[in-house]
Amino acid sequence: MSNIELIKISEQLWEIPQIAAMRVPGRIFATEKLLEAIRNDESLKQVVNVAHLPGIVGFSYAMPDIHWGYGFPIGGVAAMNLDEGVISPGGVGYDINCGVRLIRTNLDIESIKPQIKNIIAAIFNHVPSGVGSHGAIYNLSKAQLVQVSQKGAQWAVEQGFGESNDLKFIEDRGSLAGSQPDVISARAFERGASQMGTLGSGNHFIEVSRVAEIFDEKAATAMDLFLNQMVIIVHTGSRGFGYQICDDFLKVTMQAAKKHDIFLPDRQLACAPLNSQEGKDYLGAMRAAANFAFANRQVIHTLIEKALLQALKISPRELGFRPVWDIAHNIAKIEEHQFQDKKIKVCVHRKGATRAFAPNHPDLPPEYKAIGQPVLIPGDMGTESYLCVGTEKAMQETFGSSCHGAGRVLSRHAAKEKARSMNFLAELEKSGVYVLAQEKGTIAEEMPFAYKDVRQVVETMHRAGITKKVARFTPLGVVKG
Amino acid sequence: MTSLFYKIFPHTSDLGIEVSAFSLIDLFKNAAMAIMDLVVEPASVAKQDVIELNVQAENRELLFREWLSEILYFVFVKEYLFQSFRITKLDSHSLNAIASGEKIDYRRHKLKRELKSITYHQLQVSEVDGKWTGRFVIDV
Repeated sequence: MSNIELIKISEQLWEIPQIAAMRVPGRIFATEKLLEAIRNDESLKQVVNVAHLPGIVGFSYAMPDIHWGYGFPIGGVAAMNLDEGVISPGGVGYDINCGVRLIRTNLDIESIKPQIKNIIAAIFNHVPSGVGSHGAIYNLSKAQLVQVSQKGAQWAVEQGFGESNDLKFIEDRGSLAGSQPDVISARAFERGASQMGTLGSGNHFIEVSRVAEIFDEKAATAMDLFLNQMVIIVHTGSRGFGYQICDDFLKVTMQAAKKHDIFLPDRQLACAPLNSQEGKDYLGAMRAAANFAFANRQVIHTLIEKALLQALKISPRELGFRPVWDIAHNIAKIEEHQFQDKKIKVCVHRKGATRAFAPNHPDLPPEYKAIGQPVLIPGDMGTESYLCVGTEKAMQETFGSSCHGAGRVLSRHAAKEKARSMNFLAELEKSGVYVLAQEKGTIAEEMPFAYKDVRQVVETMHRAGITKKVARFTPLGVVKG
Repeated sequence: MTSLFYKIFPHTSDLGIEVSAFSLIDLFKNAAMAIMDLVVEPASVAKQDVIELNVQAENRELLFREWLSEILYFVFVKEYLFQSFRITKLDSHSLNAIASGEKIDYRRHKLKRELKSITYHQLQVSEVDGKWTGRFVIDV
């Protein structure tokens, strides 16, 4: 239970005053009700810990889905200035560029509803998932992985997975510049070799959903979405390639922190100055892993398309499959932002947080210039997910960042215990959600009661003016790892 | 899930593990067995192969993490499951061990979960009155 002092700034915003060695105050987006859950774990302490890092600019931020992570809280955002600031692998996480892709189709949900079990089974059979699963492209050589780590989703398109038109609907066109495969360990290459095109396990999923409500017609139309449409949500990341890169660079940055005399309130906050060799190497390796994740989601996208074409026996034209948007929610990026009337370049860490750029931002594709960057906020598998867009206020107040999901309230162990007495698969099916998973235990850990109410999370950011609601999706079927 | 030699402590997003033993060697051994217990039904693993594991680190706590990370590497990359561990050398900076087990056979071995990494968060190895305790958080 956290008793950290909070000052109310508004109904949706709270501040942790800057005390002792904190370099900036903390800022938490939450309603009073959400704060009750947030106070139940150590996440606010982690907001304070992040505020100690050198070069942090503005505030140590927490989004309303914040929960206790390791080092950084999950749902944490921190921008570091490039001269004195640091980069922290723990501020990105093990699953580098874990992210979400939303895919649209031409199909009306009513037309596919009777076939939902076939559809989920087809996706389950086409996309390798679960622990120990091997990739759709088995055993990539080191040379191939180097290509993946430099080209990202473009590499997948070159291998026949999707079309080049898909790329413009991916954050950074699915490829971060400045990847440095030469600083990546043999173990990371070994770990990534058999995992291209795999979903993984834990909280990763593929969901078939219905557009249940549209809040912003103009934005929905720009994104080619309509009411009762069938859409797909994919949540996965850089798999073992990213985990190993994070692990390797935690060791490197722990030494760097010592060398540069950086105080670490938690060892997992190990970091290196952005302008040091260690910092530059991590940034290059992290970008390589991020590109692996973009490629992975692009490969999975195409596997799902194949599964649907086969299950529904329709043409690609009838299916109308294309990404609406693909975002990273575990990443650090060098970005230009306006801060106190000046343009500055900062390294924005988003650990369980989503970029939320405003309309007319140069990084947006022409189709979305007028509406702002799509922000994908999946809820738990039993309730609903949201599509929002970034706003000018996000640019001014959160370095263009917003929340990334519902946020856990129960530990996996506690969720499993709670699910023990339930026939949870039957209960989910009764509520209209058909689930297939490699491991039943994963479903128990991810039951809706393990999460905060995503509606409250999304509503907090909507009312705070950081992101605007565009559409709400309800799940019909889920594939879990 | 609690066994005689380890228990799960609450952590919202990840898996907190506390292991205990009456010697440092047994603590390292029990922590390794805890990892195996989280991944697979230990009774389904045969002692067919012997693997030598050697790790080094700056201090005892980091060595503890390094040891457990090495086991994750063998499980999730080399695809080995272990049934027992014999530690042949342990000091504050290095560990040598012999692990007995077999290659994963997906028809016989049902893996329970993926463990991404052993974090440094709340990592601890301590001794009070002859009882050793090790705590670590696994990113899952």
